[in-house]
Amino acid sequence: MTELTDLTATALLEGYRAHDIDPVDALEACVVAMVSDNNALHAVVTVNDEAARIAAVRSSRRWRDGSARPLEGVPFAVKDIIETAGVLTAAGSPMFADHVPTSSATVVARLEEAGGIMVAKTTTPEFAFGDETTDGAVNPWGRDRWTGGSSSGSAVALASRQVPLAVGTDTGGSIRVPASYCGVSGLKPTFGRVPRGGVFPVSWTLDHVGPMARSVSDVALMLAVMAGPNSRDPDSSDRSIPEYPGGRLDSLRGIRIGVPDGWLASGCTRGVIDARDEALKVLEGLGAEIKPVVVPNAELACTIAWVITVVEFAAHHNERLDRVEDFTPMAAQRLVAGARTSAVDYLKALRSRDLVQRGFERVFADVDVIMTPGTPSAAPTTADFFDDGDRLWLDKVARNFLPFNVTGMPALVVPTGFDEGLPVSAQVVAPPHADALCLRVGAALQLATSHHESRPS
Amino acid sequence: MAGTNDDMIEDSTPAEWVVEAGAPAFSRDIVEAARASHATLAEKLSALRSVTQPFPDSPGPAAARRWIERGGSPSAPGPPR
Repeated sequence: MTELTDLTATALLEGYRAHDIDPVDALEACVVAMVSDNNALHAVVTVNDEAARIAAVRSSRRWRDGSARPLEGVPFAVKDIIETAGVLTAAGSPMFADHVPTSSATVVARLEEAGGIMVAKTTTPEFAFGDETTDGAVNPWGRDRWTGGSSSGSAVALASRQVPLAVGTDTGGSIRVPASYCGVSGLKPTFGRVPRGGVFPVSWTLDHVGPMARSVSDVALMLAVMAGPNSRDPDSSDRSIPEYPGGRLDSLRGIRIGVPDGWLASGCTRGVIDARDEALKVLEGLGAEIKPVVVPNAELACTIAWVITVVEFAAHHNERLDRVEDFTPMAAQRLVAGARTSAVDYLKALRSRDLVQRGFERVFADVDVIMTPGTPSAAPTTADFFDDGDRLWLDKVARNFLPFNVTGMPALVVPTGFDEGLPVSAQVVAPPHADALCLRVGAALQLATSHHESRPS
Repeated sequence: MAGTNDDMIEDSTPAEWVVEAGAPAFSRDIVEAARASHATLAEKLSALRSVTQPFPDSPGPAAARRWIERGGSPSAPGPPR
């Protein structure tokens, strides 16, 4: 029998609409799952159960009186670097251990205005840039395996059926790495598509806020609510919001999918490549045309992203540089590295973004989307990591993700199967503001496959 | 002088570690811990410094942002509203 916590947001909304399920029951099932699981998995740092229960009663009333909104009664969790009015937002930092914001981030306000119920804050390393291996979250697919970071709690909460929807942030893969390692779906939208007001910054040039869920259809539901301009984020785009996902899901005829060679395909395990190739076969069977492509300058993106991120992180925390010992160790290391990087290198990194963008521009002259492997491997053990600085993050974890923070293009991670019992993924990337196309390809894949429905034991 | 940037200068050879006057002092522990992060960065920077291709547009984030808003094209008219 399907448990309430197994249901996607789309399924919950269908159940509410048919009056087969009540939001009060769905919310309670989430709270019970959090309370009973959290001692083991540490996905959640704060449960907002009292306010959530009140909201669920109101949602129940709205479904009965016909005034339900797009996400009415659907519980969601929020990464703890995203501010939530009246709810502790510690950003994973001892310095903000008692921080209770008076207003919510734009994305949280929008999800709540659409009827979503904010039920939990999720685990993150300090300011989403501390040690991703010691934030406490545990991968439900293997207790000795890393969750990825930094939206680790959001991915774990989804995979372990504590919530159907979660919000993450992504400066250098922080939605897509944990989505990949935990077997869920996550979108880094086009830069500017989702406003960042009320979110602790890491790097104002590369930060993105995005939706995470157990299906691409749910990711699309969230994005439709989260997207759109807002004055709190001057980088937010005022482009109109299309339908997500856009177009047919039962046919991809006319869609050209580029498969990159070189940097974006090297360093992967056989299991990751095989699963990606199986996904491509499915997409080809749906009518898509598969074409090999070469992306110039993609390898530069890792350096560019890291230089920009550490420098902007140091700039943001400039007033705390004289008490760097107050940071957790990895955040402090990166802060100091940023403070010691020259202005010349920072400016060169900013200028070099153009080179990477132009490389992809040439590729997208011939294809509509590209599909890369997600993380180059399934989740490694936590013991394997960070024994030589940030090299492993750059070379073996986020290498396929960083180029799309640098270029600002939308990038969706979807589960593609398993390697020795652990989830692996692929990434669908489209030109800027073609988020709908990413979602269409991902949703079509999930309509034809069932990897995304697998759950850890 | 123990626990100051003087140690960092002495113990850290990459050019990026040159300490300018007035910079905050970091303890030896932090400097030691940061060394690995910075060593990775310094190595990676060599790739960036070796870029010889001409930069195709005006410098800085504004050009990158314009490219994004134009849907990935440098020459297309402004975005549809």
